[in-house]
Amino acid sequence: MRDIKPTISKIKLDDAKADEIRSRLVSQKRVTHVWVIPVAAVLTLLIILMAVPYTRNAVVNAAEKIYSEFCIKGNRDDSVLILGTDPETGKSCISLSMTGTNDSSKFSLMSLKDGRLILDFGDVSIDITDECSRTKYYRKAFRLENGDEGVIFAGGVPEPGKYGVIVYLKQHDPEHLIGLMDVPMDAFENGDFEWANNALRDEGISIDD
Amino acid sequence: MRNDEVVRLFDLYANDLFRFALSYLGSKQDSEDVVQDVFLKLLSKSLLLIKDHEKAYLMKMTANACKNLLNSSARKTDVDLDLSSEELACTYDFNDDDIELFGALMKLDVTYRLPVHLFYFNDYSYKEIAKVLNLSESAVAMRIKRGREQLRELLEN
Repeated sequence: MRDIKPTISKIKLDDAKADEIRSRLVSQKRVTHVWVIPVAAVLTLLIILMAVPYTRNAVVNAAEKIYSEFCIKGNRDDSVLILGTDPETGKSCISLSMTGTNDSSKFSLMSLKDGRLILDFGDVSIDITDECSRTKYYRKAFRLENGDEGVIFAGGVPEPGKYGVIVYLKQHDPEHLIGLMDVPMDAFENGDFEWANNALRDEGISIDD
Repeated sequence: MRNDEVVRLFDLYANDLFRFALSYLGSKQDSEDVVQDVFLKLLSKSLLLIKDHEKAYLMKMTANACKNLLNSSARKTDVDLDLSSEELACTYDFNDDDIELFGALMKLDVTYRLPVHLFYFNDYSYKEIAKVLNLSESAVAMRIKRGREQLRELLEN
């Protein structure tokens, strides 16, 4: 078959139209919420959030700057999600510390052990299998010392790729929502993740806001 | 999402999304509108995209926007391709071979055209195409095979 690349490559958005769209994008007011879809690349996510170079030391250093108040151990011994306060700004933040290999492809905030869904908060490990299903989710709320509220949702079924975790922190002054979803990118069009839709709806949160 | 981040994505992917939308809709004007809508919507979304996945996410947004437009009454045109050979030559600097190939591609049913576009132009895997078009991988493989056969027939005739 003839190569379609040289032909299709010639097709380009009209320059005037491109300029018009770009101008609108620059001038349009944006929302203040920030949601993150980490998929299987949470380490990359940290680098975007913290704006640090992609090196192990930089990642660890960045994470250590945060005053940790709450944490979720990931499914690997070398990973932990830190929910805490940045001592320089006093603002709540979410960060991931991973001290082992940079390969984050197998990382998950929840563990699947012997057919059970386990959430590990560092000092306590909870089996949440019975509270979760395709539609049901586990919810844990907490409050940071600066008064900001944080919520963790976890749901799904104990099968590989069919469970996940959502975390958000509601910052105040100015009001700002930061969140992290450890669920597949297309989860919201997938019936296996109805719990995530339910959790966000019950919480009054829209990722489209 | 931050304005400068959306502009960065626009500068990186606008042409790819436009090509895909044109392949989907066959209308230059509708495709421009779709690209604009996708990025404006992105601006209003509270998302921070992971670099490895940002293009796939945008392609999926574009596919959804095209699908919605085709299903809506707001569509401005209802033709296979709203650009004449002369306009293709003038607008995109197409030569005769390009016009013939693009014309044949646009004659394919959209069912086959999109997987063929993503496979042969974007070098997407069956798995990636399945995600963008919300199909099974076996359906993608079948559509690419049939699309390739039909395209060959169209070009030979």
